[in-house]
Amino acid sequence: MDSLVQNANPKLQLTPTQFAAIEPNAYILSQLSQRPSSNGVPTRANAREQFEFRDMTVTVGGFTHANGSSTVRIGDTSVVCGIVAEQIYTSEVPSWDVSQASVSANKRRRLASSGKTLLDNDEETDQAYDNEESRHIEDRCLLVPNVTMNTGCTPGYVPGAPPSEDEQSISNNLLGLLRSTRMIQAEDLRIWYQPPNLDAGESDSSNETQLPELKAFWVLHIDIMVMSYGGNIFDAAWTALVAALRHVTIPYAWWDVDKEIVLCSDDASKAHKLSLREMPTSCWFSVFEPQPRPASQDEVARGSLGDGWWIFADPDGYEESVCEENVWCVVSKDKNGKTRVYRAQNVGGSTVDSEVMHNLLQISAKKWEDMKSIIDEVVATGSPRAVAWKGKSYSA
Amino acid sequence: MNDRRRVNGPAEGTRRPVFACHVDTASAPTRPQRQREPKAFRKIALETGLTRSASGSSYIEVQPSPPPASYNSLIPHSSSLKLACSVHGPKPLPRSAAFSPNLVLTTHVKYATFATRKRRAHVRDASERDLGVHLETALRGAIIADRWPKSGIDVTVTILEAEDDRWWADAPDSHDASWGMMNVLAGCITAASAALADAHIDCLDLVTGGMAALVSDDENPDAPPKLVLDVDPSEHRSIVAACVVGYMPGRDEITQLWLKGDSSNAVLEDGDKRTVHEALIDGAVTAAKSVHAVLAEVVRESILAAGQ
Amino acid sequence: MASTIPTVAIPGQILGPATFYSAGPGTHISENNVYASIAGPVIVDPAQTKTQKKSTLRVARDLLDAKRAPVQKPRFNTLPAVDSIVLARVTRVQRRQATVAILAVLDDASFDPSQYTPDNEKFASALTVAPNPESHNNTDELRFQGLIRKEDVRAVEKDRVVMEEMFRVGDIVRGSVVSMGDQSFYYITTARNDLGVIMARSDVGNMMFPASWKEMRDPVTNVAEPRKVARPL
Repeated sequence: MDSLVQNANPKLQLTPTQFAAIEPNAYILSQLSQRPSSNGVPTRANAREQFEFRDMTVTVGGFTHANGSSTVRIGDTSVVCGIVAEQIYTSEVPSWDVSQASVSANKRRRLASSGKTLLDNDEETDQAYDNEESRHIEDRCLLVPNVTMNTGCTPGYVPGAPPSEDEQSISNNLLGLLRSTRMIQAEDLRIWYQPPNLDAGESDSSNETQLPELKAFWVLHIDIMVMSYGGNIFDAAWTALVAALRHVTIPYAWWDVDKEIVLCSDDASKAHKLSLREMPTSCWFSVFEPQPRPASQDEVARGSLGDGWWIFADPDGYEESVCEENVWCVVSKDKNGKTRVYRAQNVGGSTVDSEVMHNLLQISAKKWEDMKSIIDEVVATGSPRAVAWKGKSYSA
Repeated sequence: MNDRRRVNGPAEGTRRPVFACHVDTASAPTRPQRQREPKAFRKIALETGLTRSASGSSYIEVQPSPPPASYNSLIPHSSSLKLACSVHGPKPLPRSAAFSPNLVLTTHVKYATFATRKRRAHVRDASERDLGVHLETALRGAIIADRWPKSGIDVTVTILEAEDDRWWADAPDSHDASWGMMNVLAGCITAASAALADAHIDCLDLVTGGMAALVSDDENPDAPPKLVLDVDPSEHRSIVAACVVGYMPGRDEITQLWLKGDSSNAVLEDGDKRTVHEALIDGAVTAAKSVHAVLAEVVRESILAAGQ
Repeated sequence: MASTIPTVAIPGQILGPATFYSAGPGTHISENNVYASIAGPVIVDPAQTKTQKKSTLRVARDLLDAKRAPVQKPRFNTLPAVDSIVLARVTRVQRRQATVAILAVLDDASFDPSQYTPDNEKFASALTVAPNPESHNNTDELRFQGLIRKEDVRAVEKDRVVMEEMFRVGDIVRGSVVSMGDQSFYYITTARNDLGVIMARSDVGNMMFPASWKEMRDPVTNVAEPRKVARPL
């Protein structure tokens, strides 16, 4: 490695560590152009290929007081996610209107009479119901994700300081994704009360039961702590969030008419898990452009520099520090294997065109397959147990 | 309440779930009993160097006494202690700081929101500041500060899970006696000491935290309280007094001492001539010595691991 | 006595009597004994000179440190000290001085990179960790600050020094620490042939090579720019 750097800068005589610290951009470039892997693909400073993701370990559980929790390690990045479920009573919501719950109440009654559950994804899922779903979650702020980085994970974030711009941006993106993917079903967060049918004796029609009343909602406080900063915080945070959501246990809750409060059962067998509609996967890519751009077109033409820019999947902290432009893809697949795209955007630049974006989405879709099996496995093994995934390279 | 820099929940605030067994005392579970000997410790897991982005780091976990086999309630049987500590520095002091010939130590302790039965706020509260000050005192006495002029270190402890203050069913919302904090502080001291060693900051000794308490489990209020080490507050009917020390075994020096509770009327068991305070401090020192053995082993192993 | 000295030590561990040994880096003396103050391998440096009677006990910070030969002036920390050779990035050039951010402290003046075995662990962490992800431009805030005064730039023709012709913002400089300075700055000199700018980019952004003791040249545009150039080692 010594010789490499000295080739790049024969008179410099710095150690590789010093050179890497002083000139990250030039260092990354020298590694890309001089260190092809076995199959001739240039490799990054961390010896990964362009579309190679780092090793990952996912654990669920382990935090006693959270309804759901997870720990995710991606390379040197590690995050912890804890989800705590609390309640809000509809009677305490000033703007609450009983009619707001009418569609789902009707649907609930209809389903109850037909013996189906809401979670049977049948054709009855009409538009009105869908809208009400997301409106309840959004209007009532039932999902509250927040990321904290001032845990001492990096000296840049002062402990005790208010959330930085990065933290605010990640938190808001997590919230945005939770909403736009609609992965959480509002029904999982509702606490109903079925009033007794006092008129039962007088009426002929048994169908005329009382409408159930929506008494309260569960609110999920989702807190993510970054414990070690090694780049690509968003993917780690989102993975932790999804794993923790899969691990959440919501106690069985009912409205106690006499005390006028919601009571919960501590019986684990009566509790329910969240039935997530999807399990979207987030993939960050950084776009690396040598600074300055190759001085002469000759260098580009000679091929040593390729297009003059590279894409790094799952960037580490060192790579992130020199990349201005990032590409963010969030994809999921439905039951029929059809890919849904929730995010496909570049941030901080415009090097990536639609063709490249298409390839990155395909890579993200392949990553989704792996992510799904990891999280399915870790949730199935019961908590707390870690499932490790060996980092690997994808192609579009 | 409404902080625009965070994603906020409902403006009306949220309530903790109320479990029926809290309200209906007939079906209430029974208090866990301490199964260990008075001087026996729960198992400690300690690791260093996990946070690669820090100069030094550590993670400590005290495993709770296992719940009875038949226990299947959603209400956690007991809490354990899980702390992560990171050290940054030595680094330059802020521009505005005055010249210091010594290393300037800054400590921060923060609970994760999900660390306790009652959800914690994002903003630091008084107990967290308290813990930070006690931790700073404990470390200040161990660090050889004149080795690192003009520089500072930040020690940050994140409490991912904290000990209960008392058994959850006794007083679900009581905060009058924060006994859990005592164990948390002992853990903070040990975790920070491990992280300082990992960061190669010169110290006189590996300072460790130890905790002891006088507990009363007898129905008869006149029965003498018992001295126990490494106390899980949820396992005892009441705690009379508790003590935490930051202790350097090599020099037999206490760097930090925190005694809490009313021990003035307490009488020790027959034959014990010490005052109650002395007994508590001795107990906490004994606890710190045991923890030191674990810490020393972990630090020694980390050197050998680095040599390979 | 030597047989009782441990091979590795942890802070607070007794290493040997102070009557037989001097306390080197990573140790301290208490009650007539030398104790370890950091964790690491214990090294015994035999007495070097006639004036020195006792062997020195020290605890090494890492493997590289353990292999280092004993030096006259032992270093008790990793901070810049008087006579330390440092690598620094120029952050501000003013009429009477240049401000730099210290990137690395090279351990002694006779630093020879060809003898350097990269410390793999440090190397790896340098690559994966962004020192301050919040804003990459402020990374220098977390580094020790240094000051090169106009009179410390070069040894000759001191009064004809024009700072703008010596350094530009972004240049990498090899310098030597003159004094610990005040609360915020270390004072640094480049007044030696082997000190000065070692790495610089030209106006158009290309890496330049040293052309003479006062000029560096852009290999692409062939334009020369003035600098206080360090003689290549």
